[in-house]
Amino acid sequence: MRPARLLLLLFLGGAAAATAFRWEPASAAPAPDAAKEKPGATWMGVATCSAAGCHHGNGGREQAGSEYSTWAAHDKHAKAFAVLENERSQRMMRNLFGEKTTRRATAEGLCLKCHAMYGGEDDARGERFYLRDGVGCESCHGRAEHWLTEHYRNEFRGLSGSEKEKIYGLRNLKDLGVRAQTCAECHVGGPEKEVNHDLIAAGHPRLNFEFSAFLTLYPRHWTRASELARHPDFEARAWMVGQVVSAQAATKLLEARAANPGKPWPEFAEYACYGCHKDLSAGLPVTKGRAPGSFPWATWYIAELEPLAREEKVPLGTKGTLLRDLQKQMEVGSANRAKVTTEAAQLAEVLGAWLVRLSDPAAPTLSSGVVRDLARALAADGAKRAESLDWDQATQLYLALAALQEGWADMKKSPPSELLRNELRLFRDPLQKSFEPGFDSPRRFNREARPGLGQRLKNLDELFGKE
Amino acid sequence: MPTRREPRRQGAVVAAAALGLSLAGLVPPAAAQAPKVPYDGAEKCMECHTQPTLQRSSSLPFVLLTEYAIWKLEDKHAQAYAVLKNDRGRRMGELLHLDVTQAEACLNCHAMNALKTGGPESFKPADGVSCGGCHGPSAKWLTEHADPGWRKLSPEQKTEKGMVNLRDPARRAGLCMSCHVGNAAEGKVVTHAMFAAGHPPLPPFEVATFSFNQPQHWRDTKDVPFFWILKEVAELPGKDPATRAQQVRKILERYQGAKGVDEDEVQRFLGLYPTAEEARKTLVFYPFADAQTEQTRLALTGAVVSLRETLRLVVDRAGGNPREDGRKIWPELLTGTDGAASEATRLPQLALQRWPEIAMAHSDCYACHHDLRYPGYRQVRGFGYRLPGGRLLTLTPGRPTVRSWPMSLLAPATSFLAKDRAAARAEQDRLAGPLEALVRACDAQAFGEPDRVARSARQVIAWCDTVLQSGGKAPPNPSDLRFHLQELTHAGDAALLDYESARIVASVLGVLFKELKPRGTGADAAGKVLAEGETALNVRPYIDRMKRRELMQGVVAKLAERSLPDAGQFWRSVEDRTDMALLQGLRSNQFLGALRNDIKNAQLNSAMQTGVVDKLEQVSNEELDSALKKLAAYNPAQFRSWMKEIAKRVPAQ
Repeated sequence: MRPARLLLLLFLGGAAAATAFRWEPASAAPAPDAAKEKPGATWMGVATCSAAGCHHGNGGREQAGSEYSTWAAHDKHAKAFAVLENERSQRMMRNLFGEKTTRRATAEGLCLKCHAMYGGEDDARGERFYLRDGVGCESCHGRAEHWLTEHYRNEFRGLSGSEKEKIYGLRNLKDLGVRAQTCAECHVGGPEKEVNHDLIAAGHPRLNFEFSAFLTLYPRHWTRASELARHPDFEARAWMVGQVVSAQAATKLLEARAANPGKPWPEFAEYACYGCHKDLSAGLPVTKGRAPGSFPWATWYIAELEPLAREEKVPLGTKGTLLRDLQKQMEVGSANRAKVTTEAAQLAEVLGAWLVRLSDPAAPTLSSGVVRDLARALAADGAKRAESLDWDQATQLYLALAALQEGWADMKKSPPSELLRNELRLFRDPLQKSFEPGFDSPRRFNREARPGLGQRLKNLDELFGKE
Repeated sequence: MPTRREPRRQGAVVAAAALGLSLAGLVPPAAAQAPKVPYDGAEKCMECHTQPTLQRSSSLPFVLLTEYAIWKLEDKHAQAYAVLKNDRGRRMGELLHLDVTQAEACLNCHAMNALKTGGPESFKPADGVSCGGCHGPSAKWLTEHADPGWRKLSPEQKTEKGMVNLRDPARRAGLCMSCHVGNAAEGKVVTHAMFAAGHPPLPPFEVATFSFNQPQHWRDTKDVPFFWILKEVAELPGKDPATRAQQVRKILERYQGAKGVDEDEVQRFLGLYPTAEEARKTLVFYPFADAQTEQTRLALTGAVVSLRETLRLVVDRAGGNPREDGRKIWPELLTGTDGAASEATRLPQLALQRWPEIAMAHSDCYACHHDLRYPGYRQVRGFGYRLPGGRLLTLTPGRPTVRSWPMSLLAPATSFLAKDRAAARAEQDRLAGPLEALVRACDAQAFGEPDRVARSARQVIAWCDTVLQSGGKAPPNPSDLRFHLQELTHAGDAALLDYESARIVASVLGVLFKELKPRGTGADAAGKVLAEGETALNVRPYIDRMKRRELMQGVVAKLAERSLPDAGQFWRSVEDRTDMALLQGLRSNQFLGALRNDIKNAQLNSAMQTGVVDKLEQVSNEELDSALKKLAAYNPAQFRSWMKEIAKRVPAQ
C-alpha cells in the first residue's frame, strides 16, 4: 500500500511540500499544548548539531546518529532558504512590489518566518547560526540555547518529553498533537505566518497540508518502528490528529484574517482554488448543494471533519452546527468579519478540546475494528456526497482511506487484500490524472474523475467490510 | 465610392457574439424613464423589408429592402427569445428557480420587455430583439417613414417621432451596450448567479465589428448610393430644368444598378430636391462627411461608451441598493443561500429583489476563471496597470479589477476623438487622476472598496461624457489614420493586457486597417499578421455561420413546402451589400419570394422555438467552446509581438 500512497503524495508534495516550516513562539496564539519554548532563547544553528559523533553519522534514513545527515541530504526543509533566491521567488517579489523592486525574499520577515529559523530581527543567534541553513533542527525541536549541552546527559534523558519541553525548551515532538501543530504553523499557517491569495497569485504554491500523508512522504530521521512501538495504531491516529490539528490551525488563521481589518477580505485563499480557477471551456458544471456562483469554502481542511466528528461522537458546538454555520457565513460573497471571527474562535476552541482528548496518553489504542469501521463510515459518507465532491474533498477522502487502511493493516499484522489495494488505486489514479501535464489545476476532474467516484466509494465500503 | 468594392471581410463576427446576444437583467427600478410608446411587431416591417420589388426598387439606393430577411434568418437577435427555450435556458431556470421565458430579468434583454407598454397580454416576446428594439417604437413613424420625403428630416425630427438615430455613434453604442454590457436602470444585468447557472459569458463588445458580424442589414455610409447621388446632385452646375432632369436621370441610372429609370422617378426626385442647395441640406443630416473614417470613429467612440456603461453598472452595484440588514452586497457573488431547500425556494424572490446588487458584471471574468499553471501568463506579465499617459501602477497580484477591456483603448480613443493632439493629451492628463483612483480602489481590497470604487467611477464617467460630447466635430483626415494605427498598436503596452483587452484592440485595429487601406508589401505583411491575430483572438465571424444558414434555410423551405434553390443569391447579397445589380436581381428571388408571400412571421417564430432551437444551441455550444479554447491559449507576449510587427510594417509616415 505504501508505494501506492506515496505516488499521490509525491505529486501533492510538488506543490505543497515545497514550502518549509518553522516553529515560532512569540506572537502567534499558542495552541493549548504547544511547546513552551523559552521565548527569546538563542538560535544555536544547525552546525551545532552536525558533529560526526552526534547527528552526522553519514548513515541513511531512519538511522540513529544520522539525523543531520538525513536532513541535509534528503529533506527539503534544508533547501527552504535557498528557494527564496530562485527565479520563482524573484518573480514573486517583482509581482508584489513592482517590476523594478530591489527587495529580496531573503530579507523579508514574512518569507523568512517559514523559510528559515527566524523569529524576528531581534533574534538572538549563536556564532554558528546561518539563516541560509533554512528550516533546520531548531525549527521543530526548539531553540537550543538551554538544552544543547544538556540533552545528551543521562540526567536529561531521564526526563519525560513534556518535562524536557517545559524546563529546557526541547519540543515534545513525540506527542503527535504537538508535532502536527509544529508542522501546521507553516504548512497551514497562522496569524503571523500565512500564505494568502496575494502571495499565491504572485507565484507561491498553494498549501494543502495533510499530516499523515506528509509524514509518509517525509524522509524520516527517526524510525517508523519507534512510532509503532509508541502507537500500534500510529497511521490511523496520526491521520485523526492531523485532521483536527489542521482544521484547528486553519480556523485560527481564519479568525485572525477576519478579525484584522488590515487583512484582505474576502480572503480568497480561504476558498477552494478550483472553484473559481477553472477554464470555462469545460462547460459549467454547477456543484450540487450550493447556490450557483457561490464560493466553496475550505474544501481542503474541513473535508472529512464532519464525518470524523460524527464517528468520534464529538459535537461541533453546542448545537452541533458550528461548522455548518461558519461555512454558511463564509460562502456568502461578503461574509461578515465579526460573525466569522466569533464563530471561528468558537470552532477553534471545540477543536482544541477534541485534540486534548485525542492526545491523552491514557487514551486507549484504537482497535483494528474501530479503524475499519471508521474507514467504512467515511467511504459510505463520501459515496452519498460523490456528486458534489470537488478534487480537494475527493483527495482528502482518498488520503483518509489510505491512512486508515495502512493503520488497520499494521494492527492486524497482515497485509490488506489485493482487491482492496486495487480499489484504492482505482480511486487514486483518476485524481492524479485530473491534472493534465503543464497544468496546476485538475482540468479533467469534473468530466473524467468525478463520474466514477460514487461507485468506487461504495466498493471500498464493501471491501473494508469483507476483511 | 459605392462602385469601388471594399476588400471583403471574411464574414461576420466573433464566435463569442454568440454569447453576447444573450443577456438578462433585473427588474427596472422606478427610476424615471422615457414615456413609453407602443412598438410594432416585426410582422409590420416584414412586408416591405423582406424582398425588393419593382414598386419599391427605386428605394434600393437608400435601403436594402432585405433587412427583415437578414435579421430573421441570420441575426441572433431574432433568436433571442427562442434560445430561452433551449436546454441551457431550461437548466438555468432550474438552478435559478425561475421560468426564464417569463422572468423580466431575462426578457428585458431577450425580448425587449423594457419597452413593453401594457400588461403581459399586450407583450409578445416571440420576436426576440426585433426592429423596434433598436430603431425605436414605430407607432409615430411607421407610415411616414416609407415616404421618400422622410429622408429629408433631420435626425432630431426623426428622434422626436421615436425613431432612434443609430447613425450617431455614441447613441448606437450606448443602445447596443445596454444589453451587451448591461444597464441597471433599464433592468438589464447578467448577475454572477446567472452566469454560474449557465449564461454564456458576455464578450468584450466592439460596436463596428459586432455590427459587421451581426450581419449588417444596412450599408456603411460610404456604401449608400443615395448619399453619392445627393452629393453629385448637390454639385450639379446647371439650373435649366430640362438639362438638370437629364443629368439627374443619368446619375440615378448610374447608381441604380438596373437599366431604365422612368420619368416619374426622376420627377419625384426633382420634386424632393429641386435645387443643389436642397440636396446639400439633406446630405448634412447624414454622417457622409465622415464616411471614410466612419467605422473607426464608431469603434473608438464605442470604446469610450463601453467604459461609461461598464462603470455605470459598477456604480449601481457599489453604491446603491442596501440589503435588508443594512449591509451592502459586495461583491455580489451569490444570492445568500447555501442551496438548502428552504433557502432555495426563496431564491427567485431574493434574486429578483436584489438583482441590481448581486451582479458580478463589474469584474473581469477570466481574472479568476482560468486553469492554473505555473508560471501562468499573469505571473510573467506582472500585475501592473499602465495609465494612458504611460505611468505604471503596481497592483496587488490576484485581485480582480473592473473589467479591463473597456479601459484598454483610452489613449487611442481620446486621440481620435479630440480636436487635436494637444487636446487629446490634455484629456488623457485629466483622466489620469480618476482612473488611478479607480484602479487603486479596486486594488485596496478583494473586489475593491465599494465606496471608493463608486466615487472614482463617477469621475471617470464624467470624463467619458465630456470626451463624447466634445469629440466628433471635425472628421479626422484619413491620412491621420496611420498615426492612430500606431497608437492602437501601443495599446498593447497598456492596462492589463488580458485576452479581452487584446481582443478588442485587435478588433479596432482591424476596423481601422480596413479604412486606411494601406498598400505595398509592408502593408500586406501587416495584414497577414493582423489576420493571424484576429483568428487567434476570435475577432473573426462565427465559425459555424454556414450551419446556421442551412438550418434557417431549411425552416423556410419546410414552411413553404417546396425546395428553393436560389437561397444562395440572397446569402451573397448579405455578404456583398455594395453590388446593386445583385440587389436588383433579388426582385425575382424565389427564396425571398416564399418568405415574403407564403410564410408568416409567427410561423417562423414557432418553428424556431420548437424544432430549430436545439440545433442552434448545438452550433452555439460548439462556437462557444472554440472561443473559450482560444481564450485559454492566449499569450500576451505573442500579442505584443504582433502589435510590434504591425507598427513596424505600417509606419506613421
